Amino acid sequence: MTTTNKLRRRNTLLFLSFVLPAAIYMVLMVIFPIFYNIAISFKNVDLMNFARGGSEFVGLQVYKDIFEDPILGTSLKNTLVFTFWCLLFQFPIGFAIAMLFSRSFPGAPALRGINFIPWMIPMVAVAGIFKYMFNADIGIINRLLTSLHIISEPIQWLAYGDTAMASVVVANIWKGVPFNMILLATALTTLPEDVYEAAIIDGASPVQRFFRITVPLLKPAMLSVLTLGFIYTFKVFDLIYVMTGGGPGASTEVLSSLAYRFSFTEYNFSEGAAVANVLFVLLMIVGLFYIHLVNKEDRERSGK
Amino acid sequence: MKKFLSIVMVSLLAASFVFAGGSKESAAADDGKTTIELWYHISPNQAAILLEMVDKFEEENPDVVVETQSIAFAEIKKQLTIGAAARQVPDVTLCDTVDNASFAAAGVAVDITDEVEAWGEIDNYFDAPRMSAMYEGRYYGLPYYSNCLAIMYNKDIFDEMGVPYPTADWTWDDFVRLAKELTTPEHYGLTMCLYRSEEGTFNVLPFIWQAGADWDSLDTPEAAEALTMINDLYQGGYMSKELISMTQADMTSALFASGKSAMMVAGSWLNTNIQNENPDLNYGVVTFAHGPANAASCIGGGNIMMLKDDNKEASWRLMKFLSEPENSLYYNEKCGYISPREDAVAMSELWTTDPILSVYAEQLSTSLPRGPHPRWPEVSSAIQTAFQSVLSNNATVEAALATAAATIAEIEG
Repeated sequence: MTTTNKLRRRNTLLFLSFVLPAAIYMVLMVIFPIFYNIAISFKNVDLMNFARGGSEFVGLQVYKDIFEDPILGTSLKNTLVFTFWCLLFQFPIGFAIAMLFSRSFPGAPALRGINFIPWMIPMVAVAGIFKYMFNADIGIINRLLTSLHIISEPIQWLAYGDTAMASVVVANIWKGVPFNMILLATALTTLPEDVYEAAIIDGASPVQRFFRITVPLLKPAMLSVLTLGFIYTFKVFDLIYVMTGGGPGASTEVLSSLAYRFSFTEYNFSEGAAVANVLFVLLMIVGLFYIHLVNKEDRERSGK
Repeated sequence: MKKFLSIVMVSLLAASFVFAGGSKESAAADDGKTTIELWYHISPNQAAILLEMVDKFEEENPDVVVETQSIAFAEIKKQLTIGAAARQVPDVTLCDTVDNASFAAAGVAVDITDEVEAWGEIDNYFDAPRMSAMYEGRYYGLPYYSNCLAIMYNKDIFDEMGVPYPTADWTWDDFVRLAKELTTPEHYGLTMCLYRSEEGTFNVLPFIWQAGADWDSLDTPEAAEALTMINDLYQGGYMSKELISMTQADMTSALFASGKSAMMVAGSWLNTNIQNENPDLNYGVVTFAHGPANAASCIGGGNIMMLKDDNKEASWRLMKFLSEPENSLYYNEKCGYISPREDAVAMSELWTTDPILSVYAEQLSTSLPRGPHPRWPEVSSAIQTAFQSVLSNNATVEAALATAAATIAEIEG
């Protein structure tokens, strides 16, 4: 055996020792569950045969069943509606607060820290607090609205579909704003000062500076924040589970809560897995789109 | 860094050996004793009573050791299902009555029909709990504790408004009239659980039975009549709109115990919640109002199942011991339930003379089990979606029931 071979072998071993832990972790914790989930969605696993074994391969039957069930369409629609309204408010509000904190004023760092608190509170706690606040009889939101004479009768927030959806959206916006804020604020600090100085000398107004400098320079960061925000919002579970349980009826049922309901309330593991896979595919498309955007951005920048 | 990584990896490996090796070794103790494992999902106070009984059993049966394991109420079905797939189940477990049939059909619960028949005591049980332990004519469990729903009423509200208390012979007309009459800006006439969970099904199903329908006949005028009555009371403001998102425990403390509701569909175990919230509440209980068909109620509670036949003899001895009339009486009295055994109820002073519990004991004899159906959770889920869509104005009574009936027909196959 030559020395180079020995060296090469040693290098391979070294290489493996770096890669293996991460690879083992990925296989056990990420890849195996995903493939297991895909596998059982092509079988008919339910409570009856989960324990005894004897589930059969049924091809696309489970997917056919869930796509024929109107609940899947309803849940998908609810998920999209929820995500749309959340992002529509979360992002601009987070951006505005980030802009505010990009200026230095007394107490700014402390206030920025305080603004981040909602993001650190566990979602289950947020959901519990908001469920209480939206309570029609004793909740603070009706109290506030009636005392400001905006409404005369208490609104039954969680009792009807549209208001229940509005309630979970509001709760999620409150929770999500700091996430948008902190990422955009960080991105804002990386913008070069000299461009702004030059613009001021050239007589650009603050509005022009915002739309002509800040927005274009922030575009990569904004895309990241929007995509990550989309993914976080789209896979919402705990908020819905605690605040409405997907109800009333199925008016706030989202894909993740539907997957949970199929798997762990109705014990129809295959249907639950199939819904989870639908969610997975949709999010993967968003993820691929994001990677594509990032790459494009990188290419453009290195090209210049 | 490399060193650090290798340390981490080695310790992970070591840990996995420890965990792999540590799990299974208790089963065959060398002193000739049989060890059986018992799982339960009841509250800590109730578990204390159960453990007292287990100690007594071990005293009387020195050849058996019982290892107990507490599982959260909401988790036990999941744990048993996952455990069954991995062949890691206890010898004996408590479970919710409504799940006994599922575990029987799934082959998780052991058929104990021969033991039950040799025992010769099963005829002393009330019908509804006894039926909940059966699947396709065979026994897969023994009822251990029972409860059922009835109507609690706030005597002070009735007195204040000069309305006489409801009596056991009341009808749906009286029920609806009272719910409306007793609604004022200060309190609602009625409270019942309309939550999207098994609790909601538990509360709504009695009315469907009373109208003359059942879970497998939801697309009938009878079922529509029941749901229409509930919906009219709900939309008319005679019940809180919050009930759609409240559990039974929530509604008891927020509405009934605080004097904000004149009547409540409630089980006997909620007495404990009322005692904790407002011990001075002046209330009574009456059996359900007579509907067009009957005045049936719904049973809840728990059964004991055997899951392994390795230690069948010792496991069955434990199940029999817990089910002896005196022991059944002791456990159920202490825990605020009613014994599923008619002979134990007759022995008890509490259930025959207590103004509240005696009503529940009486209601138990006209109660029915949910299902029993191996895929009850799916049936129940269809019922929940039906009543919630109606209450939230998303569907008419007939349309919602037709959808539910179609879903259930599909489940039936």
